[in-house]
Amino acid sequence: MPINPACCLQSDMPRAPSWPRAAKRINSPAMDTSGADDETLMQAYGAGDLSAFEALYARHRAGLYRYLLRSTRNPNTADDLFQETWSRVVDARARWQPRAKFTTWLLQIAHNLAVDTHRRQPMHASPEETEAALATLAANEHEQPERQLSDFQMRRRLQLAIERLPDEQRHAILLRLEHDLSLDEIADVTGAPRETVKSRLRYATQRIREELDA
Amino acid sequence: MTSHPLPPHNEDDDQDLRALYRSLPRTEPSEKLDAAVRQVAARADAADRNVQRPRRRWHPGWGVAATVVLATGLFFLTDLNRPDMAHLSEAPPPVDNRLAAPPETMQRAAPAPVPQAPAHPRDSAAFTNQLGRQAPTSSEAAAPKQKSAPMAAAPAPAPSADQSAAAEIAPVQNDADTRIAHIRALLQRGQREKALQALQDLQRDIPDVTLPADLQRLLPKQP
Repeated sequence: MPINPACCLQSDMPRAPSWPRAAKRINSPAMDTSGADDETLMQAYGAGDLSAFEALYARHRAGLYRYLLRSTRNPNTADDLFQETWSRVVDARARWQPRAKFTTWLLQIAHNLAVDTHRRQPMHASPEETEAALATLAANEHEQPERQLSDFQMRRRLQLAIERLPDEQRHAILLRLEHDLSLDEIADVTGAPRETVKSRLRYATQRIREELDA
Repeated sequence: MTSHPLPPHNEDDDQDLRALYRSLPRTEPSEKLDAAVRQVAARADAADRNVQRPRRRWHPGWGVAATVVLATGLFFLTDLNRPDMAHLSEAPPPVDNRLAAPPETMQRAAPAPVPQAPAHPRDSAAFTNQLGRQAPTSSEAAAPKQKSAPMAAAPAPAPSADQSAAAEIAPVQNDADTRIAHIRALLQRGQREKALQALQDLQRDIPDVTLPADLQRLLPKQP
């Protein structure tokens, strides 16, 4: 069953029994953020601990940004959606309840924003533009020239293959590859049935392999 | 380009793709974007603190002081508006002079002569005899006191006999005083004839009147 973006906000919805460990309330304004889980950090931030937000942001900023950048295929749009996603996290700080995994909730916000953007603006950047941007990336220094060329070509083909996927398949495969989400978790984030997600992943994987073998 | 069949998706089928994906550039948000997000969070945190601060700033002492001021104000207002205390702060009600004045019949009654106290102790015996001769009543003796009493202090609704007699003398004496003052005024204006006539009229109307020395000199000396 897909979860709603408002699932983790305080409401009359019953608490998920699979997530009891973060149910404890954080009252201390200063806490050890290094070992705390995401849900505890989010509760601490809701209680007024700004350092908890810093810890959450440091953990998820890069993965969230890459998901948005490769979903939207446009850096400017990705920047806007990235900032909007975190703004919604900030707005929900006081009423957020640990009824689902924080990562699932965060990605769900970003996914919905990306889908809305696709509906309003079908295409922002052509694959050629993306390919040109990818060509400017520097390779690792320790890599040999022959190996560098081969790996560079493979990465370029993978990126182009991902970008050419239909939106639903691209979102699903990015959640899988970038965040290592399971089928159920992807179903939660995208709001699609589990079997639908499984089918999207299967087709996406096949198309990517075809691009890589070409 | 080769095509692959579509086997049932297994979550471990994409191990090679996941490894290849991790070799892609680890793109991250720019510092500017990081700063913008952190600024949003810090601004929200500052707003939360500003909302909480006024609550702390409200000290209970302000509530106590306001209560004391309110109670004091109500006390003074209530005290001034009490009906049983209000008459104390107001002027006495005006006296109706018509009701306070004696009836005209009393003014026309003959006043009792008021003996004068002797100037010297040697005259005290004669003074005593005069008192006995005139047989003044206790009410008559009280007449001089009534003379100086204010008009407003006069009559009760059902006065006793003594009180009526005392009230009888005072208007007569007042009338004599008025006429004496009138005679003196005539003398001051040089109307001696009129003054003498008024003096004779006074003696005729009130034979027992005690004339002051200056007017007694105007009377013809008796043989």
